Amino acid sequence: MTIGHKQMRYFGQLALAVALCASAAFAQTADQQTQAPAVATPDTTQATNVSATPVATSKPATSVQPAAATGNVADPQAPADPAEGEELRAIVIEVEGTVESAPGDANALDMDAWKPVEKDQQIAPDTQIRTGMRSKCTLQFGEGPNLTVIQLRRGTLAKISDYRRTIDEQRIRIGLGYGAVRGGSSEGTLRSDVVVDSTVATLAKRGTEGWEIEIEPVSGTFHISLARSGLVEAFSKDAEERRRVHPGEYATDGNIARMWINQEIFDRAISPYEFQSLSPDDIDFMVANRTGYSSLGPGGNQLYGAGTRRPPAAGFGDGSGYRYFPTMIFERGPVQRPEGNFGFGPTFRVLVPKSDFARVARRSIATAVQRR
Amino acid sequence: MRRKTHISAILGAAFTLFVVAVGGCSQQRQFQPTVAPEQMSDIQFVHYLETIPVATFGEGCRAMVIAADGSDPYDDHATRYAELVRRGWVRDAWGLNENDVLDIGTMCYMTSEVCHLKPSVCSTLLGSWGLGDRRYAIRQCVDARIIGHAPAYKPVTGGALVWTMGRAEDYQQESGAFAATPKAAASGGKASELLAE
Repeated sequence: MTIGHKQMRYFGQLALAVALCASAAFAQTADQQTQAPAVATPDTTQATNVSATPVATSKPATSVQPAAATGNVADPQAPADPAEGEELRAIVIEVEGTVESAPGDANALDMDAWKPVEKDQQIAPDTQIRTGMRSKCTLQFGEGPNLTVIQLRRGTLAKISDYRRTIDEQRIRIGLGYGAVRGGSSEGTLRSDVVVDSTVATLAKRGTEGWEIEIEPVSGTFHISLARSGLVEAFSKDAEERRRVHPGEYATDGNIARMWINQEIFDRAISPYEFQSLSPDDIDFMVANRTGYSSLGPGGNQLYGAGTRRPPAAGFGDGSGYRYFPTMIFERGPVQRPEGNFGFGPTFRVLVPKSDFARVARRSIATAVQRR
Repeated sequence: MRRKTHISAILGAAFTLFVVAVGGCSQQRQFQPTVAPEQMSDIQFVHYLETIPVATFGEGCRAMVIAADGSDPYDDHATRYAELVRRGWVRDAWGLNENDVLDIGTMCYMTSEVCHLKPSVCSTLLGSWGLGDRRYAIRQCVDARIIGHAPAYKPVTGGALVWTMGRAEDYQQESGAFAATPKAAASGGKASELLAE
């Protein structure tokens, strides 16, 4: 009985999709004949999923539900090009304090151009939004599983440069003049492509929640952070460096210029030498001098960590047979670093069979233990 | 020959004094906005600050009132300045006028008072009677991660002033200085959930 219901629902959706396609084709024909303006697009989640065909998405012709109720409104002025996707409007879902909007070319000091923003207002692309102190404005892009929420924080000037949806992608471009913007996205049936661009730095989101970018364009100061999950890519236009920001991390104009060298070195002390390139004397030296920071390699393909100063639980602890080396870790595999791998390339030591080298290494360690 | 040397020295000293008096050490801002900032609303004033290369002491006072109280109820600088003196955010001993260039030290002193930053021992002992008070305030603001390291005499750009206002607001919010406000109605449950920290 349950299967029967599912089948019925499936056929119902199929019939709805066929009806949509047929009506779209009819409307297309009618448009070609009468040049009538297009009507709002059907934007329910399920309907979009079912009828996500080039015809249904590229040619807005019918309206299954009221567009405002779906939280996603097609711009009637926008051309419906399948390649470019349909241009949509964002919905203001929260306003706190003083928030104003103006056309994209309005001057900041033009007092007549700026109008107050209200809740549930639709914001079309090429619109500037600014917030006062102790104010914020939250915008919703998309609906259902393909939801992106962006909040303009205090003292911010931003502009929705582009917001459109293609068959497989929801593209949002925010131009940030100054101030702070934070947001989050959930990717369901569509890939969420969000980029916040400014004169100082660019934030590109890669399926994430809790990102934030704050800039001060005059001095070139910026702060890009990620609070919860996902991955954000920060690009400094001044330093021409890019960096991936993981949850709990941040990138600023200062540390993105220095990149990892001032940050990661305090997290991990890794010897850049490969196991194959170490002689027994090298191992003796490392065993005898196991404190202090290891030097960093000049660049290369692989990094083989030889020793770190991790807690005993992570290395050879009591009962492991190497209790005199509680902080030593020997990792035989490459250590992948977020900023890329580096270290020396293979040397003549690769000519030595691995099993033989391991034997030599074990013997050297045992000898060092006996010496102590 | 010796008389010529004297004349050269006198002329040189006079020229130096002239240059210093006219503009060399002037703290007045030469740039003047087309629209009087006092006529602007608070939001217009904040976004006006982003357009100016250098902020004045008068603009800094208004900015700090907005950062602390959320809005500026005063009509002119004299009234505002008197209130700030009463609150202890500025000092008459500084001798600053409305159109003087705002420097980092003065801005940080006001910011530290707005945020109620905890003063250091040296700041309490020495800065309390005026010795290096604004330089100690920079140290406090740097420790509170409101600004980065900067010399006290450096002029403040409008953008930097807005940045500091925002950071001061964040600091007050984190420290619970703002009264608890009821959260806005969540029109989209997922949306509010996404932005919640």
